[in-house]
Amino acid sequence: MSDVRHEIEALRRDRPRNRFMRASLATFAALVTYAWLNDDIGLVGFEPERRLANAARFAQAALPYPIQQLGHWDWQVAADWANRLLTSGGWQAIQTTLAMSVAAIVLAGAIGALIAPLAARNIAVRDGLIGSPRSPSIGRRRAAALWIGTVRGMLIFLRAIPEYIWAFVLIKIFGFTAWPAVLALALHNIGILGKLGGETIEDIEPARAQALRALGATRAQTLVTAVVPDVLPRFLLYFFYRWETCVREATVLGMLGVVSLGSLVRDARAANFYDEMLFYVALGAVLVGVGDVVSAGVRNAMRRAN
Amino acid sequence: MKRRLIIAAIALAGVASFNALNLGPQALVPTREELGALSSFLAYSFAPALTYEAAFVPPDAPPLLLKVADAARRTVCFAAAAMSLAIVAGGILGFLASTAWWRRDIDARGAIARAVFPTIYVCARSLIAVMRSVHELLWAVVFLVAIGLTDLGAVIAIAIPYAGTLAKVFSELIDEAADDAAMALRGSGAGPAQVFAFGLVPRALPDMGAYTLYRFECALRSSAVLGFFGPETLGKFIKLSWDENHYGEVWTYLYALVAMIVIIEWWSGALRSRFAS
Amino acid sequence: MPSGHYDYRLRNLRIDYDRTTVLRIEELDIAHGESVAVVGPSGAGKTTLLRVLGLALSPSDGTVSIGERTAEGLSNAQLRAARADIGFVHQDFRLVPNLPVLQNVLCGRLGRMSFLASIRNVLAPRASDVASVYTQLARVGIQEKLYQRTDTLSGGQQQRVAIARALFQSPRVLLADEPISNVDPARADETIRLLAEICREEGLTLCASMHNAPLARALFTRIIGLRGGRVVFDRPSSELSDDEVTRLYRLTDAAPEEGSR
Repeated sequence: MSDVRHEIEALRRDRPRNRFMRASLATFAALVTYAWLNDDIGLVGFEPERRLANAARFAQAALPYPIQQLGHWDWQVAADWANRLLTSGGWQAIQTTLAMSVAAIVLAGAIGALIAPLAARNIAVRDGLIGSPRSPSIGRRRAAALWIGTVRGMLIFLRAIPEYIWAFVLIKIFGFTAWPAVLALALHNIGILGKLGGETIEDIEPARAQALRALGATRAQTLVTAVVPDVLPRFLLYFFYRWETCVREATVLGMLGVVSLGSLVRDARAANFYDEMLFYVALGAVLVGVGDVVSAGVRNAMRRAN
Repeated sequence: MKRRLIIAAIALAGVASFNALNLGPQALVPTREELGALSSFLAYSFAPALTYEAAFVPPDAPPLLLKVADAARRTVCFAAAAMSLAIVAGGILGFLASTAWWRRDIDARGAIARAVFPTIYVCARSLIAVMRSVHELLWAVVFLVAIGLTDLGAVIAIAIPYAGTLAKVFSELIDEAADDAAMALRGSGAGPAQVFAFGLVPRALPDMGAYTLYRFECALRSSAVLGFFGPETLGKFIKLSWDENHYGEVWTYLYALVAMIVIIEWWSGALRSRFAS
Repeated sequence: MPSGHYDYRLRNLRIDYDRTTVLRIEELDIAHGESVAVVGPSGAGKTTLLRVLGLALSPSDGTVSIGERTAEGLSNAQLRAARADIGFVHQDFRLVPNLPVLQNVLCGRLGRMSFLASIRNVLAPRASDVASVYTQLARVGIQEKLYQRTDTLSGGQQQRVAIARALFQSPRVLLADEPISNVDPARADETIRLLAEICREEGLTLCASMHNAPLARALFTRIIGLRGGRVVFDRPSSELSDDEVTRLYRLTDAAPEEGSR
């Protein structure tokens, strides 16, 4: 029996260990512990009584104003109130928000699709998968690595900056029109779609492209006839998935001043109309929910068609 | 053919949207002033500030780079704290919102279970939808007016939509996980909870981990943005520096944010390549 | 038929899929300790019969008795207890690929413990449990793989892990579905021999479906020939003639579909 124990112990000692994985988990755990225990996140001085009183006041003010005056809930009155908010700007804001998200994702999709091949090693590099059969010189390989690194570096920069901060910067430069908001959403998503598109292109089966190259097709021809059809379905899935997040982000960009749902939320808050503020927040939630359902529907339909 | 149709529809929707926003060709061309502002801002990207740009700096102010590092540290702390809440809540909700643990076994259960489990499922799904569809900044604004935006409130504002998103993705990953091992365990007498815990969850775990790390990256961005609403994360200082026209400092903060994202992307890439043995 | 203790009694059994009858057995008894090979061409109903025996499929008509009870009257808990007594080796292994071999084998005993106990036993197994997993792995010859990730093993080795898991379950009955179809033919004999040998030593009932009739005759005491969902023959392997076996396969070539379907 002790022989077996020994053998097991020996096997256990030599077991394959994913040290990097363990170190990662430990790092994350340490980070979380540190985050809660240092006093940045004010767990002390929370003053629950004052907060609760505040919340109670808020709950009162959150009821539609006509209802507050009426003193009891009446569906007809509430519906009239909601209708008034919708016609006096709510619908318009929904349309603007939706239009911003669509304009942005179409822009990002178009530019992302153009950049994606430039970020894929097998396309951008002359001697990549669809390049010439000769093995590349060292200088050429270095140039290729530099090129790919530059494109990817720009993409990672674009997606590292969140939409809200892009919008902040662009609004300061271009003023309070819809254009900075659209551009902000687009810039962040170009970074994401360019990366995902590039990775999809790198994953394609090279056989067809190589066959075409062997027949004398140019790189551009090969790209259009062999690569695009393989990559497009995937890219469209990413496109619709990113559109969902665009709708979500578009609901808040208004808080920087561009007229849309977010600006209505901001104005209502500034005027202490908490009932209206919550109404517009809910309106945004409905828009995001509808966007999710539409996008999921389209993606499922495409997945079934493939 | 159908794909062409989809692309045509997308293009049409794009044109209609630009039109609805009154973004005609001339609106897209920047004026001379705008170009000037843009180019001077971009020029600073090559000269991020290493010291304060203000003429007067309070004598007790820490060096700029230390201040940037501190803002970055706080951004990480908020993101990590929010993720820790989101992972716990998302895990529980994701379990309730997955169908794998009851639907596959439902024929062997009583009428009560047949009524209760779908009800729990629908409630969990609805809760997840509500949590997800309100943006973290809107949650933050609601907390701001309801209880005053404490730092804890900011953390919870991020955690709510993130928990919803994690729950949705977790439940989908579990439901899509290959169920062959699960069925074998069921055949050897394991109960539904055991089948779930030992047959399905381990299968989905690598993908769940990868997605969680990706959400951590997103949480860093959200945490930075939340600085615009009070907490002293990167966003707050980007705003302050911009308002004083200290573009060099703005770039320093931006680069700090980019550096954090690059590290996380490298980390998740390294994990993925090491895990797929 | 040996008299005395029976593991299975099947009566007037009928299994339908989409209104087509795929298996029909008037009477089938399996005594404890028997080793039964189920042979027949693909689509004959071998896997269906095994799933019925494994209580994974309830009959459209007729009764299945296991031990002293009828399967359909069992409560959830009783059904689980009954399943815990039945080890099943699947042709596609059905292991969790990204867990170590140890955990996969430990999972064999889930049916015998509560949820909380199983969490503890799988995540932090007792030394005695690890030792007994080791013993089972040693029996199938891969004890050195104890702590390896399962998907790093070859197909044949994973098959052995699946066998070890079924043995660790300490079942009364071992069911094996085509245990050799995923392994190269050279090692196939070895694996099936191993199963037969282990079951003989432990006095387990073994019921295995397979293609290879000569091997079945060499290793099993009783052979059931299935074709088109019907029992064509069912007798001790010593009384089975080559002729009958060849006819089992040839007949299907001549008349793949019979009137009843």
